[in-house]
Order: sequence, then structure tokens, then C-alpha cells
Amino acid sequence: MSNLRLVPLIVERDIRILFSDTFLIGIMFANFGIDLFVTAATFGRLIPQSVLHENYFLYIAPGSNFVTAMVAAFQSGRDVWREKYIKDLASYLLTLPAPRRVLALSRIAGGVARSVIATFPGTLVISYLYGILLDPRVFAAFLIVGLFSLGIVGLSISLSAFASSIEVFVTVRSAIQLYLSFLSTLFYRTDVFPSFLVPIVVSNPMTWAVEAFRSLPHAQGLIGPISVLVIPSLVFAALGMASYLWYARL
Amino acid sequence: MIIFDRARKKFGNVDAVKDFSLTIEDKEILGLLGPNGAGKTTLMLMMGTVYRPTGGTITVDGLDVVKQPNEVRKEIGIAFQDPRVDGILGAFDVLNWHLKMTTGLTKEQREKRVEEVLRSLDLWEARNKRTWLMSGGMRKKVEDAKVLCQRPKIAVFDEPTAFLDVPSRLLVWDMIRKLRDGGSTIIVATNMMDEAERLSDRVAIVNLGKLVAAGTPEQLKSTQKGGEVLEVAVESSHGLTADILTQFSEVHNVHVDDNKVVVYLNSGRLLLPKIVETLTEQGFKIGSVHLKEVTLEDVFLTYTGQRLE
Repeated sequence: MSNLRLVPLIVERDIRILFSDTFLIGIMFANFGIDLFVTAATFGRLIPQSVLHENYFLYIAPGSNFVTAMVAAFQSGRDVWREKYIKDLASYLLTLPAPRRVLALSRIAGGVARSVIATFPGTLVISYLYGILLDPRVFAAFLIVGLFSLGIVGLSISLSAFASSIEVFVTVRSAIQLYLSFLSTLFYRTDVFPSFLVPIVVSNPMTWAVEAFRSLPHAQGLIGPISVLVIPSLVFAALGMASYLWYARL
Repeated sequence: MIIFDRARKKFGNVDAVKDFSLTIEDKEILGLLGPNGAGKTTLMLMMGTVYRPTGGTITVDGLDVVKQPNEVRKEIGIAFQDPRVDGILGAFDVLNWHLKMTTGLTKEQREKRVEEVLRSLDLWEARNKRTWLMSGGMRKKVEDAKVLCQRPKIAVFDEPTAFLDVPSRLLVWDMIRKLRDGGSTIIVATNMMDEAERLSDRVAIVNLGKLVAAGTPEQLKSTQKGGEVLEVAVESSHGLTADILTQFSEVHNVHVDDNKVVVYLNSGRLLLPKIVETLTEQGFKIGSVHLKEVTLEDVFLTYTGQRLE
């Protein structure tokens, strides 16, 4: 148990590094701003409410926030990759008195914390737009963002463990981001997709995350919207931990 | 006590460390002397539980590095050859976090210790400067400071004074000695003769992944027969063979480099004119002659057949 006291310390380091890079934070917030306010405002005029039967601005808002969460989560994997191949910090971290599994757990937790922090303003804004800011459901909103981030951090750390070059990392990351963004219900409802793509869309974790978030204003309980994300996120997080343990093995 | 018992490490087909056996006593400074690529860093990373030995065993205070890596890591602090610091963070944050991870000190104790070491290394004014904006020497001092602050039971310094100017080198050596006096066992990997000689209680010479000699600097020097070294610079050593000089009974060993002949001998002052005369008669044009006592560099040359640059 005493080793677990190291987890918040390693998470603290990850957060400190995140906040040291103000440029990166600026980019992530700009990304969110562009996605939500510019894209949604223009798309909202392209797609009238009479066609969509709902406000497109509100429809796209959670997805924009998840895109920001996704960028921040992939940053964790990129950092782990850079630690090994560019800065050679990995050998330093591996000589610290933390068991490898604690180190792996900490890196995942650090990634989630960074992602939740990066999306904090966005989650608040959207919770306000959804009318749940002063409601217990606001906690569910953060939990959904955290669970989504958990899965993506796991995925990105797995990718970093196996990517032999930054080009491989960036290319695979882009492919995953394209899949998550455009083969999900982030921008469109399922019935807009060709029928052969529907199974892919409905099995997309981004679909589950945005639908969970969109259901919050109507949710009777908090468990329902959250539960759908728990298993895939834990599976990806376990994959990330296993990959980190493989990468950091003695 | 640290025991390397026939430790081996292979990377693919390359033997980085071959059957390395050495015992490092408590509270001593051991200089691990060898050229770049000799296997010094690999040895330290095996001891630091980063690399798994391919064969043999390494124990740190009775703890096996493969079977009890978590316990071993609690005993060790490593200052790496290339500084391993988060470039985006300042020196104070780097050291403070390192102490949080490696010691149970309170916030006040940590900050006091970090300040003490940063002031000693003349880094206090630059404590908040991002380390990637620092010069190579400053970054190296931050790397050394990690272990100097940590005061681990076993402190490992990989080329601790690389990139440092002379006053800083002397300062770091002094701080390493104080760390030893405080009860730490110190391993210093270096390819600098004067560092090994002046800092170490014992020196282990490593070459091509193998331990070739170990002992105090004096013991190693005493292994050189004669106790004197004559260095003769010649215009060209082409055709110069050792037997030209080993005909003299006072000459114990001869190394011939490109333009230099190194002769290990005794009664050097008496023999010097004869050697000069012999070489001149053989047609070798002599540039300069230098007679000196045996140094660690000569020991290294004898054991490895090469010089450390």
C-alpha cells in the first residue's frame, strides 16, 4: 500500500509538465473553441433545426469537448514515447523506487487527470448549456469525460509502447482520431450513415461517450449513461497498463 | 556491499558486459574507469534494475537486482551521463520532485536540502530557469544534484564532471567525498584519469565489457614494473619494435604508438642516454624525451593496450 502514495506524486509531475507548456494548453482550448463555437455555429446554419429536430449547437457540443479530451489523452502517449526515444527519461523514471505496476498505473492516472483538466472549462460550459451545471448530474458529466479519457489514454500509451518512430505514432494516432471523430455520432445521427457503416458507428467509443453525455439532461439516474463507458474504458486502460509494463520490463 | 558475480549483458549479438565480477565495499568510492563503450553505463543500469543481466548475478546489500528490484531501487540513486531532467521544469522543481519520490523528507526538509545543494553548486539564482534553457554544464550539475540531495545508500555518478569547468569539477568532487563521508557507497564511472585517480578509493578498469584490473590507484601503479615511464616522441615509429629496447635489463615493457614510444623501466636517468643513442643509431629521429613516474594512464595503457582520450 505504501507504494500507492507514489501515484499522486507521479500524477503531479504529469500535471506540472502540462501546465508548464502554456502553448499546448492554448492549442487545446483553441481547438475546443473552434470545434464548438465556429464549427457548430456554421453547421448550425447549414443544418436547420427543422431538419435535425434539435439545436445543432447543442448536438455537437459534447463531441467538441471529447475531441479536446482525445487530443489531451494522446498527449500522454506521446510524452511516454518521447521519454523513451528522444529525452531518454525512461531510464531515470525506471530507477525510481516505484514498482513498475505503480508507475504504469500512475501514468494512466496522470493522463486522465491532464485530460479532465484540459476539458474542465468545456465540460462546465456544456453542462451550463445542457442545464445541469447546478445539478448532481454535473458530476456524471465529468465522470463521462474522465472515463472516455481513461480509455484513450490507455490506447495512446499502448501505441507509444509499440511505435518505433514518431511518424508511426502520429500516423496511427491520426487514423484513430479520424475513426473516433467521423465514424461516430459526434457530428451526425446514426441514420445519416450508409447502412454498412452503422455497425462501426454504433461500436465507436466516441458514440457511446457523446450519447451518454447527450442523455444527461433527460437521465433519471446517473448510472445508466455512465455504465456504457465503463467496460471499454477499463479494457483500454488495462491494455495501456499491460503495454507500459511490457515496455518498462526489467 | 555490492557484488557483481560473473554478470553478463548481451544486446543482440553484442556482448556489452562479459563475466564481470567485482565486490564494492560499503562507504568506498569506486572509480569505474574505461573508454566510451566499455560497458560502464550498462553495468550501472543493470545494478539500477533498468537492464536485466543476461547471466550471472548482481546483489546490492544482499538484494538480488532481478528478484528484488523494488527493494534495490530504494537503496540507489543514479546521476546519469546525459542529464535526465524534464527540460520544461526548473532545477528546484526537478530536485524537489526527485526527493519526494526517493525520500520520506517533509516539505521543509526537502526545500532546505534542495536549497543547500543548489547554493553549493552555484545554481540557486537559476533555480527557476527551465533546464532545457541551461548550458550543458548547468544541466549536468542539476543531474548530479539529484543524487547529492537524495543522499542514497548507494550513489552512482556516470561521468559526473563531464561538461564542467575546473572549479565546478573540484566542487562536485568535494561534494561526492562528503556524500561518502556521510555513509554512502559511491560508484563513479569515468573516462577521465585524473577524476578516477583523485576521487576514488579504488579503481576498476573496464574495457570491452570486461574487468581488467582493480585496486587502489597506488596498488595499480605498483603493478607496473620499474616504476618509471620514459616517453619518447619520434618522427615516425615505422620499423620500431619493442625488442630494440627490451635488450636492456632495466626495461620491462614497451608500447609503440604512431609517433610515440612508451618505455616502462627503472633507473631511467641512467638508461635514458643509452636509449636515445640506440634509437638514433637505428635511424629514428627523436623529437622529445620525457621521463616521469607511473600514472594511472600508464596502467590503463598496459592493461588495455589503448589510451583514454
